[in-house]
Amino acid sequence: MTQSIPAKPKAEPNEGTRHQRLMELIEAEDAANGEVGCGRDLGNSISGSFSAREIALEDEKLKRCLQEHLGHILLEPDFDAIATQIQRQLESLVSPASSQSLGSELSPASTNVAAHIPTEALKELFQSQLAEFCSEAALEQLIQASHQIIHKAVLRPRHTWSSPIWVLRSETQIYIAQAAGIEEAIAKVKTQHPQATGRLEVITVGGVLAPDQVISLDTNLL
Amino acid sequence: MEGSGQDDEYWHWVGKSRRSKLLLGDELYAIECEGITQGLMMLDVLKKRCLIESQLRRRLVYISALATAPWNRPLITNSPTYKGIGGNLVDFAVARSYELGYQGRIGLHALPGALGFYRKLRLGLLDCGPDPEEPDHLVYFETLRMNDL
Repeated sequence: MTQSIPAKPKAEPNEGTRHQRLMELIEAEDAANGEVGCGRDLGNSISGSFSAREIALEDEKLKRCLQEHLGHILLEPDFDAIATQIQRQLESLVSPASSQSLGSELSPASTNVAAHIPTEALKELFQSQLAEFCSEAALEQLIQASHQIIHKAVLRPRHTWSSPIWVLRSETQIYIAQAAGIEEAIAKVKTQHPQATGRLEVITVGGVLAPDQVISLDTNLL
Repeated sequence: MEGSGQDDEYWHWVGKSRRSKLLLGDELYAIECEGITQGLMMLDVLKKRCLIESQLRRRLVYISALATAPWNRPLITNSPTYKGIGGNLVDFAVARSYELGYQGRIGLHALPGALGFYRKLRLGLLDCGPDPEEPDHLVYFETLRMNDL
């Protein structure tokens, strides 16, 4: 099932460039003591997790349902986020070990949230795709979790979020600017701090993944 | 790898890669040397979109999972057999992104021990901070392309 990575890429860089890049990669790996992992914390059941990935809701069907019921208040980015979270919830139900901390996200106290999409509509959508993989109880849990996920998105639609906060660094200063994009952030810095004539490097951005996000900076950067 | 305390311990490399049935848009790649899997990477090339405001909802290649074999990891083996496996896999994800017309954009959630690696890769990956919607609040990285507006 694995796919082959061609031994020779189409536009092959020269030997010197390849060697330099390899050195950069090794330097990056050494910076993390050889740790390069990404993706979900797969815990102690990777095979279970991959089995869970085989069970998925059809993205388009779910988003069509969301659009139909919530198109007047939410936009595509909200539907993306909702679909991702419902899929994660589904994975946790079919393979709990693949996402051990997921359960803690859904507060038992908030189970009685408004149903922005009728339960029957969600049930029909989920049953048609998942009935052979999930028990009735699991489907019920997924529906309740979906109500919570959707409710949270309705409370703070993406388009109501403030502009992201960009943290930029010059040779001597750290600048923090609120702007929709990086170009605008750089322009703001240059306008308000004309002495910032050199190269600006963006270190991190806050408020992209959630509204009111706290930015954490390593003190070594300051 | 059992008991090694690694973030992605218990990977059953070869068995997993051969058994997995993939969903539409999921692609699984391995680097092999002398018939032995040295690193694995799963990509989602269809379902994920950019999250950074200035390139919001543009397509990207999302690295769903990446890990190198235990014998290539210094924390497990004093003298790793190969170095550069993880970096080459990430570079391949970027190449795949270009191939698909996504302008080299990739996204990923880094495991805690690997933050230094992704920060130093020189691929224009922007640290977007811990993802509150992610079960383990892993730090999300996404390629930032200028003049995307």
